[in-house]
Amino acid sequence: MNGPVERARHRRGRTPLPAIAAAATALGLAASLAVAANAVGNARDRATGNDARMAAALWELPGAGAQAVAQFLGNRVAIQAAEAGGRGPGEYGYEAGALDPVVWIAIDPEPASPSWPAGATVPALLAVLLMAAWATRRRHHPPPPRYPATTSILTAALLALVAVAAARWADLELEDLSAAHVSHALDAASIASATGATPATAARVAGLPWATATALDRPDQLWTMPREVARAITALPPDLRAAGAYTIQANGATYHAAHATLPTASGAAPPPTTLHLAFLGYQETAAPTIPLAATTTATILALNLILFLLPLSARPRTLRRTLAAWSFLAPAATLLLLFTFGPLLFSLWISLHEWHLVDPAHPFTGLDNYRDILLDATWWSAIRNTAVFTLHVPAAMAVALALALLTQGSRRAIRWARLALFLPGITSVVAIAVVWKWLLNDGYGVVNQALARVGIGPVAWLTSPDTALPSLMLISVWMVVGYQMVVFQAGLAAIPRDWYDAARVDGAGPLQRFRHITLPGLRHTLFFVLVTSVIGSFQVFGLVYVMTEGGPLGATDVAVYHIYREAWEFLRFGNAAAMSWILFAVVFAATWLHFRLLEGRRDERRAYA
Amino acid sequence: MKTRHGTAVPPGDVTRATVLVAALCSACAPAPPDSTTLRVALWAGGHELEIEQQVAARYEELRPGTRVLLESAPNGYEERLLTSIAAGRPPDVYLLDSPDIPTFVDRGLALDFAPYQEALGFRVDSVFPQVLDAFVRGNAVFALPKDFTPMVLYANRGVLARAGIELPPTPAGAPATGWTWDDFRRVARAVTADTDGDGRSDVFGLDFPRNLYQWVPFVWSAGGDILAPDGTSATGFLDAPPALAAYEFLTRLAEDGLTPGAQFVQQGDPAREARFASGNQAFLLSGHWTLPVFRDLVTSGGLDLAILPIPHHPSQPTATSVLYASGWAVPPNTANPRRAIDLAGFLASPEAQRIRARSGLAIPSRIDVAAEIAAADTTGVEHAFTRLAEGARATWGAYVRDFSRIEALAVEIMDRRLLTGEPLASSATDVARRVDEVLAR
Repeated sequence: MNGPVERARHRRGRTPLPAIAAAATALGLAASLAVAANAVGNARDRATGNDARMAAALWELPGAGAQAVAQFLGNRVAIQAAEAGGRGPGEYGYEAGALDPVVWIAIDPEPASPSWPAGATVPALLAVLLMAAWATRRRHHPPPPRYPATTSILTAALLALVAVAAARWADLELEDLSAAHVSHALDAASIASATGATPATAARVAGLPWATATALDRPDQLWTMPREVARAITALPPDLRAAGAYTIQANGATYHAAHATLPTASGAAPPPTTLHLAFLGYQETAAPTIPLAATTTATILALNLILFLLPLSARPRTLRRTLAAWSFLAPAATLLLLFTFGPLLFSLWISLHEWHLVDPAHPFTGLDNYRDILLDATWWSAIRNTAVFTLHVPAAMAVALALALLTQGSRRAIRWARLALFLPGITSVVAIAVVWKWLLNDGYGVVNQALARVGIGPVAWLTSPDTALPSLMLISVWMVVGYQMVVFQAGLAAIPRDWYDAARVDGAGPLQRFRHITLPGLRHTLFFVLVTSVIGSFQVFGLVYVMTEGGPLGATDVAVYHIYREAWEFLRFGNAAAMSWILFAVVFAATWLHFRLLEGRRDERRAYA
Repeated sequence: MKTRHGTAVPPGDVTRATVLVAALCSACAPAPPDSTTLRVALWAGGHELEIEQQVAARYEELRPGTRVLLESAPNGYEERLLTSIAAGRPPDVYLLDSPDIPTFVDRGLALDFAPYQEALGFRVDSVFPQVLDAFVRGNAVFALPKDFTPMVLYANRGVLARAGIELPPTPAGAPATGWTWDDFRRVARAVTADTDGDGRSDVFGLDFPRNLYQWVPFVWSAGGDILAPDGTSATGFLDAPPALAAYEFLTRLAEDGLTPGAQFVQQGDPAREARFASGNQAFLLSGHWTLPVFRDLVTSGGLDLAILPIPHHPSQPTATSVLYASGWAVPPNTANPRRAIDLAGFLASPEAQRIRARSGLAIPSRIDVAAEIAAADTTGVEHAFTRLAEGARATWGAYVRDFSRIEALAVEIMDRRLLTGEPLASSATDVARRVDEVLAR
């Protein structure tokens, strides 16, 4: 290690800090623990729905009153029992209706057992893969410090054990829950039968956390439970329903259920039958997912930090400098963790669940979302459209390079031309899209009007599956060409003029000078523009959203727009998150490919050197 | 006064610093909970929002000490509402659109008003029953109806007169012999013309109703439906002969050049109202919300407007239109349930509906208020809307979850015919199968 170059190379060899791998493992462990712990929470969520749903349901109970609500829901719904007495002119009446013949059903779901142990091991496997990848690269460099690596490998090895143990624990607990709640439901029915109490009172006495009412004979009215479960219940033969407790297989889960018929309160002619459903579960539905994950992550990160800093304690100066460097980095790193990596990991988490924005029941579905997407033809159509759209990038670069060569110099006209070309790049995409949408309108668009004057058209720019995507590509070229031109001009300015002079002296013509001086001189600039533009084109959204809404017939349905619709129109956030990760993988692969190609050329150049 | 380093500090500075610190502390201290501010989420914009602010001001007069904060999002309303609920800060009252009812009601995001009907003075027989039905599940009422509209055909009598077609004088005057698809096609063909001689039509019958919310009444008016009665499947309905007849009727309008182009990829043709008002389109399929656009023109005599029922299949006696409604809902986890219920009751009250009727965007949900508005309208248009609402049905979206997904799929049926020439039976069967998959989830 003599020269500065070798020292630099040595430093490069040390850059992948073991702490990074350790942190990745720690995060994997935290995720794994969270997955396992959340399995219990998911089951309870599925059993209980959410507080709001239950609150809405409770209001239906005839004669229930606010006291029952307050008792059932605690402080989550800020309705105080005292309000029940406050009746008067302009006030509210909480008591309405009469006790009808009712049927009670108690439901407690149990998630399908195979999915979550498998799911919990996914992060573990990822972490192990990360470790393996890290351990096998750059073997020719000095080995990394021992402690973080050892810790990471050990924690990675523990992941599966923890996950499986937690899953088993969840299983056992759910079993107890189911049995207990079915008996509670039967107790409630007995209490009501024996005493003539209202369903709410009976439920409260029996210790049922929640209850709601709906009509048995109307599956579409079973709105407080998963639709599949409602269908399963309504499909049950009456004699089976009358048997008491039973189980239902629906929605990939086992539901324990029970019911009983309550007598009429007055003994008069039976009013219309009402079915009362009691969703069972704990009132405290929130599993210790977040605290557990946070604590685990913090502990393991702290452990790794200590192990990382421990060897440095023998060198106080290095330790001081390291701490100083990290303290300078801390604010930016914190922001990055909170607002970039945090949401990233959260989206990964969401992608493993059936996730609705406002429904706290987020059943863990493992890789089901990914499987569904990979089998979804419309998603692959969107990916294909995106890939085709990306083809505008080389076209735009060629135009931009030509413009950059043509608009060199500082004459006023050239400066104005550069400004005019650059303007679309700094204009709002929405504004551009709105204007172009009008320009390209079939009937009254300026473009078709102009073409009509020369006997062409009308062209269905945006209304034909054959032309809509190329139209968007053309507009995109117009949008980005100014920005790319400016970047190319910066690159051109960096090429020494002497090289051109020397080439002229040697008799090189313009094309030869372009081929042998300009292009090689712009290689890094070209690479930069290519990579950033390809990534940008994979993220195209505004043009599609405003101009075509993915149509006609999905011809312009690109990946990000597809994800947007999945999340915000169809409210399937789990699927949308999984799509985002697949798109990330595609973009990552494309970028990696670009880098590999450039690396190859660099190696080739070194070989000649 | 000296600092630790011996530098003198003027006493005035100390006072100022103390005051500043005190002010900062008071600013940083948690404010007492403002239990009198009620947040209302809605999608009103422009003049409509001004009207809603008048309604809110009236409520503030009636309930001194209560402040009503309108949080309006004309665009992306559902996204914002769902996000606010997910963030744990739901509005106290929100406007619930009929296609959003399953999304909110199925997830328990709407309180049942049934226990409070008496206290609020809300009687179920005071509102149009077909409007109320959309918000009712069993005995529960999950929103107090605000207003509604059926889909109708706006007709420009001037365009029809140019083609020698006279409508009966009443604004709701359908052709006396009946208003069948054949009648409609005949009229549309008669008005379609190339007035500037460039070889292309510039006056049309109708803009193509591409979206399900527009064309579903044509299926109903052919005696069919798009889903099974229990809303669990589409096969056998979306691809059944009545539905195919409706698709055939509509696509033939486009293929015969009776509709303008540029409509297949757009949610709404932005030029259609202008085309209609300027005499370049005879009919406009829309709801009451379009009426304010034409009101000044109608009043000034610049537009001779008629409101017609949707034409029906010759085999059917009448047409069945679709009805879109909205209502005021209260999330169960609002911080102020009691006041929120009271506010929702007021927002749906006759007084609020009378104030709101000034915007003219929809028909009040209360029968008495709608009758008052219709009686006061000298053009007769309001009466026509009210009459046409009688035979209308609420949208399937009010009952079926994930209906937006079904709407997105259904668009393909006629698009595939018009853009690729695929037979309607083929595309309808395929779409029905995919809708079944959505419903089965």
